Amino acid sequence: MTRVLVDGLVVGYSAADTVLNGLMLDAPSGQITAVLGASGSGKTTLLRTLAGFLRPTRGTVAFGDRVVAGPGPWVPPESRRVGIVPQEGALFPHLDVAGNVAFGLRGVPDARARVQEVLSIVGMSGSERRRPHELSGGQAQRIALARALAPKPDVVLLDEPFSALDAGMRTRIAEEVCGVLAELRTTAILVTHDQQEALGLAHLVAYIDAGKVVQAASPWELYNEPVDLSTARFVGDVVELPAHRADAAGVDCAFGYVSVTNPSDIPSKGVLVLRPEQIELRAADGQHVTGLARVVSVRYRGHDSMIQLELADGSPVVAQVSGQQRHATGDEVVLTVRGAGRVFAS
Amino acid sequence: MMHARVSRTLLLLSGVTAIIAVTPLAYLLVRVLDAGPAKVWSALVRMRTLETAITSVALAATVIVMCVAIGVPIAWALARVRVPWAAAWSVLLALPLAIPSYVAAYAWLAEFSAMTGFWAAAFVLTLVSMPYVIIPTTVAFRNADAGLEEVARTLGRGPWGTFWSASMPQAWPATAAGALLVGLYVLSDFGAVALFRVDAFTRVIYASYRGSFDRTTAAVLAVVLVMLALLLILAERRVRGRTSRWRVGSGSSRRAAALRLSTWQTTAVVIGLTTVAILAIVFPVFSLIRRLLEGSRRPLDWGELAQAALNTLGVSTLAAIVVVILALPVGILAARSQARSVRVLEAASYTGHALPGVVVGLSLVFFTLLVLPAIYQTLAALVLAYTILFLPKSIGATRTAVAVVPPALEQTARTLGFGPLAAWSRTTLRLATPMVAAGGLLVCLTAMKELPATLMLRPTGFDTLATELWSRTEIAAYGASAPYALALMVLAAVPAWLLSWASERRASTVHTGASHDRVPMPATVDW
Repeated sequence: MTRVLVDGLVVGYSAADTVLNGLMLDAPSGQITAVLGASGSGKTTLLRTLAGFLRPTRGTVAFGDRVVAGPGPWVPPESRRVGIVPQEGALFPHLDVAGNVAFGLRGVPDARARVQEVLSIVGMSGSERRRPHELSGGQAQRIALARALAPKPDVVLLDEPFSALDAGMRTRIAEEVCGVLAELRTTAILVTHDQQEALGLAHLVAYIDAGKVVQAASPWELYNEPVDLSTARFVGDVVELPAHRADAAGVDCAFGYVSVTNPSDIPSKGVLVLRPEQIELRAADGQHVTGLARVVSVRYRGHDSMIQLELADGSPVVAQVSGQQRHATGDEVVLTVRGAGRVFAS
Repeated sequence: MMHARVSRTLLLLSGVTAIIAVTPLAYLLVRVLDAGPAKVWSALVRMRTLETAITSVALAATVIVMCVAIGVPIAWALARVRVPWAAAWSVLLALPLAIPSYVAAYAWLAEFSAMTGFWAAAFVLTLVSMPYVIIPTTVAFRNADAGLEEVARTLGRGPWGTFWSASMPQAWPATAAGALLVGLYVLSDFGAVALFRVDAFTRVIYASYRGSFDRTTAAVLAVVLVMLALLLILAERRVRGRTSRWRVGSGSSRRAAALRLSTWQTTAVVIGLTTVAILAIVFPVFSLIRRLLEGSRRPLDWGELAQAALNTLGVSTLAAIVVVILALPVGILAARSQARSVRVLEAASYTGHALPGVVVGLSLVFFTLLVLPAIYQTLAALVLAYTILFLPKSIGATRTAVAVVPPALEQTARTLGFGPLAAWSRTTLRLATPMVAAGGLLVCLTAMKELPATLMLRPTGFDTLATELWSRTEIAAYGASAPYALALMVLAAVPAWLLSWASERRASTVHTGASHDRVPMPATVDW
């Protein structure tokens, strides 16, 4: 059981050009922590620093009570006891499946038994003699996981391991891989730019931007209670409306009064953030004055549809409604809000 | 489109090319069979034959080992280490390819006239053929997936262990293919072997032809030599075929960042690179220029030099034109058709790749004497020899040039109202021309440096730079040889420079998909 503790991490190419700027992260032992961020946010740099491929300028990295990078100590990658599952194409092409999995088992007495064991954990028993080029993308990723798990690492690092898989297979493989990690109670850090992947697979999600963790929280909390506007935007679709303070618990906006989940910091004027699935549509009946809108376009997806709307004052709103509801471009509708929103200073 | 009809005319023309290409080998086999099994057997089992074979194979093996031992670390340094003047080193270390082995051998002999024998030849051949290992290995190290190396590190391998278990296996196929090309180069080499008096196949074959005592022995030795060369070519093909399967996934491999070394480590790397560059390129040029400035007892005959240069240029250009024309139908067909007949014709046209110059020379001497006496010791025979030897280079270039033009372009032109020929010439031909021309230039360059076939087939009194250099070096008139050697180097350097310039431009303007080495000498990407 190994908790990963990152404190004040600064990593860069020079003093002026840093990628990580005092990053803090506390990844709990035995759980999957997703590091979510846009490209260029520093998430891959963080992973490479954890693995020991990059040396931090400042700050410390500790695995449990072992400090692996800090002011004094420096542990090279081969002694860190980390396993890494890189993006596609990272199986050793000159070795068969068994050779790949046994790569980190030099000097281990019952290496063959261990190879069998991890192959059965990832559901690839019987593929020992196959060559990497004979495997599908999903199979290759399972072998990569088996290879990383074989030496029983303290921490498993996953570097966008599913992004190269085709859409149909991605979710299934991702769930299988994370299922294995959760079952073994391995401390794992999953780097991804895909919010659905992060929210759906991890116990804890750390959203990072400009080399710092902006918010580290449970998936539910990150989605429903983001700490700022950029986080709200990154983890899901948003509806943004100008709003002003109404009372100690809510704001007034184009929909009328909406209560907020962050009442302690309601600004006098700000932006109300809602999720598209919070917007409900009813046919206009001539009685309502607030929340009147016109349907601009409908993207129908079967189980639901994404509806672009325009409020009376011209501001755009997007609503996600059940696929059973029928709307057409040009329809006049009335919008109401379900639940509470989140307000930020604009 | 998949099963487009193979053009009859193109097939017929390719047939002509293929027949020309296999003539020397076929004729050699006929000669050997003609001699009867008893005679062939006795030629084969003679002590001399065995000794020659052992010498040749040992020389090739020695040079391969040295090239790999020196070339791989150099390639790794060029690809992975932050060295000052990185681009300059790459060019400098590829340059020896442009130096014919006999010019390099001459340069060393001119300074150390006592150099002779197996080790002298191995030394000089290593210096000139090392780029065959360095260039592809550098590219392989550069393209290697850094992710694999990182995985190896996390799985407990230190830097050195990672090199052996993750980096080297990725580069190995390229290195092995390069090493086999080195072997082919050494087996075929005549110049260095002859100047250092090593009794390898080429020298023995040439000697028995000159001595004209027993032509059956020469023919038998030639056939054995060709067998050895074929073996190397097949092995090279296999090794290269294997690499293509190794790219797993759609190739999102990440390149490794260049390694920053400490000052003293960098200094050590630079010293190593400098030593090799001095031995392989600076020293030969220096020795040549020194000899040139010293002059010789006999003043330089400018007329003679100019005549030789003109002859060289003329016959090489003529050969290049003939080769490009003959290669055209084969190259086009090979690029556009998978038909069995096309594969066979293409393979036949590549015969010259396996034939050392000495073998083509020997075979064409017999052939012209006995079958076509009209062209015996004429320019036609010489051009024929160059054609057979260098067809593969031009076919390779033509094939690649045509293959990168999408057939859809030609089809689009057809839908826009152009007839078959007009559509073809406005699209495929237009786009393929620069690369086909580059192939022709490469043939010209290579023909200028050809020695053994030229020695055996040239018309009496027709001297090229190579033969003039040869006849002067053979009698140790090193001072008198210098202008010829220098002229050869300059002549060879100009097309090499042009080619490198053209391929740089191509690489930056046209997306060809294949990431071929952007190196000055495309000699390693023949086919």
